[in-house]
Amino acid sequence: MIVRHERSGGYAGITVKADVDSDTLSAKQANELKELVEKAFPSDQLQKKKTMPDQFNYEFSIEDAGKTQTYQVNDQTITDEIRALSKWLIATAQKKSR
Amino acid sequence: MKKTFCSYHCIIPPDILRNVAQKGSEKQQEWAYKAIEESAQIRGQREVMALLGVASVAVPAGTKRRTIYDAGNKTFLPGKLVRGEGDAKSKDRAVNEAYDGAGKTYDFFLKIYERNSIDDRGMRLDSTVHYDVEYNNAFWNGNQMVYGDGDGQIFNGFTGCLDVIAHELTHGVTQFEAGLVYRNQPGALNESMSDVFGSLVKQYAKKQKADKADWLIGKGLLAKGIKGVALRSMKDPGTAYNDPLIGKDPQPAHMKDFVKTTRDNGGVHINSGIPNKAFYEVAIRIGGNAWEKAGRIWYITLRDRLRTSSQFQDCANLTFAVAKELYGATSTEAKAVQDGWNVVGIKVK
Repeated sequence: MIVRHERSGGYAGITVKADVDSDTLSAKQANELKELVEKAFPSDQLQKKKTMPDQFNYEFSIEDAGKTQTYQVNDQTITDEIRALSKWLIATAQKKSR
Repeated sequence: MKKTFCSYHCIIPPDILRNVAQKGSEKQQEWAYKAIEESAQIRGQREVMALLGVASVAVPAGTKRRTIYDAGNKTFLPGKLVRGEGDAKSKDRAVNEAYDGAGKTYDFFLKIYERNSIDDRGMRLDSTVHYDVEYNNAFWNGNQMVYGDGDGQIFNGFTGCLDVIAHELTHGVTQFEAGLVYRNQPGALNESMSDVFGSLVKQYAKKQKADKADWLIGKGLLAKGIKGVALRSMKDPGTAYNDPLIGKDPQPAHMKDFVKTTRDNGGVHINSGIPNKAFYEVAIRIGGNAWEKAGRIWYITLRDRLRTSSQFQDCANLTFAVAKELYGATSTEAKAVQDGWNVVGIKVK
């Protein structure tokens, strides 16, 4: 599974990218990622609301078994589960790039 | 936990809200007033409120009402009430910074432009501090300001900068006036208005004339070790930071460098560099205190002329028209507006 994540906007307008390929992770981490993704997007039913000023936009593209799904949320519509996935991806991608 | 800012308020019929707004106790009126605001979030709030006859709950000018909440590093808004208007100082620095910053911004708009709070009807200024864990951001959610603590690695706490606080409050002003949609050029104008008045509130607090101000947005916000002086520079867009971790300031200073992107709602924090630079050029040409003339031209344009989908060219034309009305068709002020927009590649019509 390849998860591509981008967080753009916010007061600073700085885009943060975090791409993680589970093939490059330890078995434990790959499992964590799978669970986080399943919890974050149990269905395609995401709320649709406009991004309010200076809120972050979060984009996820999940490539698994030949299929790619994309999801978009903002600080108005994000859930705790999606937030957890975003944080995990950004932290993991930062660690790997060091 | 799911965040539902508006859901239960929005389903209440307007006539019930109107009754509560007119006849309820002070607390009930407050609630109804807020609910009405929330149910008309996008555009034309003032017309909606006028229709509902909410005029009776408008608060007299000069009555400052600030409320600070603590989210306790969670994401449920608004959080726990920790300081109301006139309450003693908190032990928490972020609480006091949010309180003082909101006060300075309120005073600025009232004293300089005779504006009675965000909505010009005495709206209470609500702020939440300690939102989420190490949240590298501050935003306006349509009803209130929200501040993160920063992660200490890239960003310090967001209440530390007066221009950040004034920036967020100005998003509220824009929402109630021009209602600029938060995308592409109207979104970049929305952002620029927040930077313009953010900077002016800071200049006013420091009693700085245009040529003495730093024209930086978010100075002190970048954590130690990050190479940069601030997040944006109105004087020299594109030069605020250049760092291996966060990259280089991407703001253009001229229309020829306008950035086309789908990120950041169409680059609203990027292309705002162009109208930011235009304002700076106008203010420098007029000289003196930037809030007095350049600021007034921009304020009246925001309040009375700009519309939801206005483009940079519209803003240039409208500020020029306002300058001519206020100071005369052949005035140095009108000439300054024309020349200022010229510098960024926009010819006023």
